Amino acid sequence: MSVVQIKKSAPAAIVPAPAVAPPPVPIAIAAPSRLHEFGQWCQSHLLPPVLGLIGFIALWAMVSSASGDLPSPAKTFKTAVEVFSDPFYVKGPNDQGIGWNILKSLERVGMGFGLAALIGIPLGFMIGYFTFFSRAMAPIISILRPVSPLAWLPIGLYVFKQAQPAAIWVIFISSLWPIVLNTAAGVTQIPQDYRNVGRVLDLSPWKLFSRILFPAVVPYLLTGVRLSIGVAWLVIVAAEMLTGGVGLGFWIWDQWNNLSIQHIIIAIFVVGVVGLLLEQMILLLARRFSY
Amino acid sequence: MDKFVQIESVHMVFNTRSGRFAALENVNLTIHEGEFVSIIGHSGCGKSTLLNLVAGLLAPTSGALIAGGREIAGPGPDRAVVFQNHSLLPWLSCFGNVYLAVDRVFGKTENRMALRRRTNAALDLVGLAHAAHKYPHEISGGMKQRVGIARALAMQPRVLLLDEPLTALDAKLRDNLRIEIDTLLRSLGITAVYVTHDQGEAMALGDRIVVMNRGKVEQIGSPREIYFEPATRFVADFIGTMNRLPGVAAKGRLSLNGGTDLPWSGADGLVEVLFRPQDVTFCEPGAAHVTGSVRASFFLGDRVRVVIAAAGHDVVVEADARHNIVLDQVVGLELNPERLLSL
Repeated sequence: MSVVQIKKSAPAAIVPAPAVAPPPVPIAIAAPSRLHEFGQWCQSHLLPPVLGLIGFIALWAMVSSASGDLPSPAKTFKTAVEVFSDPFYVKGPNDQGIGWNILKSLERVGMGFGLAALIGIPLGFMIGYFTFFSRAMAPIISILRPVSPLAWLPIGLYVFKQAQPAAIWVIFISSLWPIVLNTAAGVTQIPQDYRNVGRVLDLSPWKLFSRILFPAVVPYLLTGVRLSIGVAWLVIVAAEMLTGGVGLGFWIWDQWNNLSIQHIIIAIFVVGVVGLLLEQMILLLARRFSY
Repeated sequence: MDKFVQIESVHMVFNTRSGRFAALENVNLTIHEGEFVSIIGHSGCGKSTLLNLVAGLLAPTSGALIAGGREIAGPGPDRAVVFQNHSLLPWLSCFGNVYLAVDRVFGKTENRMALRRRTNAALDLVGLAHAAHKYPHEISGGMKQRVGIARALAMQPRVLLLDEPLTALDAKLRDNLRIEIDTLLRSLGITAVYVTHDQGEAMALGDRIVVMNRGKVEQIGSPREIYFEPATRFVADFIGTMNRLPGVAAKGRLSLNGGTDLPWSGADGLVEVLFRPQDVTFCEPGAAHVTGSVRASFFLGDRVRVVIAAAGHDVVVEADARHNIVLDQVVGLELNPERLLSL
């Protein structure tokens, strides 16, 4: 008769653990000094851009000495010092300091972009929220969006008859689309979960919008704003070249007529730096509102 | 107990791109005040759809849904929902998230101080008073889920609807939170509907369990009824492990594969007998109801699960952890005749 082999096993004897060598004494490592850390940061973050800049200027110097026409970095810098030493002079209605030119351009951008935001944000919301509306607007947006900003200028000049409103119109119509499309995308991307929270709470339409829909769309909205400002700044220089008056674009064109290439180069840098500052401001705003 | 939620002959059909999909078929369920009902089933069985119908987030294709004597017309804070992925609004702090709900329900009748007190009380209830100022991205998944529960409770709902609240959490956290939810809801005496695919959760938490399969209700009963008296094969297989063995019954005795016969109160003829792993014990092969050899064994800490190959079938036995199981060993199995089922 086979005995069932199922036994209750005896508890295992406790075997003493083998002796281990004493742990090694930890070597004291001094914390890296603040100076050392700063030095590391300079090496990784400061050095490459500086080297890049030096390389660019060196290339520029080489090209200018080879071509003979292009002003050298040194000469351009001297002229830049002159230009910026008196930025707010006024010699005539069309001859003013660089400071005034920058401010006038910014003013036009501000108005055009402001109008685009005022109209574009609600429009974007409606397109994102109401499918019928989005389908209705889709062909119009698809056709108008790829149109070059400067193609809008003649219409603006014809309707408004003056340079200033025409320029603002061009900025408005060019910077409208990023705001509209990004806001609409933001609305469609609102997770159904957040909407469900609003539904369970049975919020009034206004509360639903202000507490749930709008905060959820803000990141997309700010992306649209950032793209929009970039487009607006790009367009103003081109538009001003064609319309004249006071502004960076007109100044560039005027300097071209005077064959003052150094001034044009300086203007290019100014346009770039101001554009960069505008974008950084919006990025700072976006970071403050991000979650 | 008063009937609070009545679900009568509810059908739910979705029109999808690939045709009509019947999510729910003829569901009937009554939930009483203060009752805790768990709805359990596979993914896609319709349990979340049923919850969304009670919440009012969906409207049924046909049938009636009544809560508190009135037809459910839409969502509302009286049937607060705890969502599967907490859906805390990320731009508000924990306090802000709960305050939004409190303001909606009580804002018209109470002043700011009272609303703040309610919010703090709700957060305190789930043990998160210290994290009120924190934002959702700064807290863990378990904490987020607790804030979701606090938000739902702060609305003082008549029914609390929980849609798989613990599914997204890890096992240990799930166990802890399950106990917290149980004690909390029992102390509040709140009516609750809890959807889960984890049968352990459903059995531990529910006063009654609704087992669903492909849009149909298979069985409604207490945890014990579901476990010991499954009404259908699906329920028997879905809840826990169920062993099956074929046998022949004659004149009140059942014989399984030629072993010792045992008393049988069911029908005569060929039967398939069902029994739980706890209702079978090891014994000498000679006197056993059925013999087999050990195919595998799993040590689970507090017990050992042994898979025995017997009469061409696998029988799972749960035994004391101290049993020393040897592979391919020939063993005898003794069944408890009072715990046999036949469906």
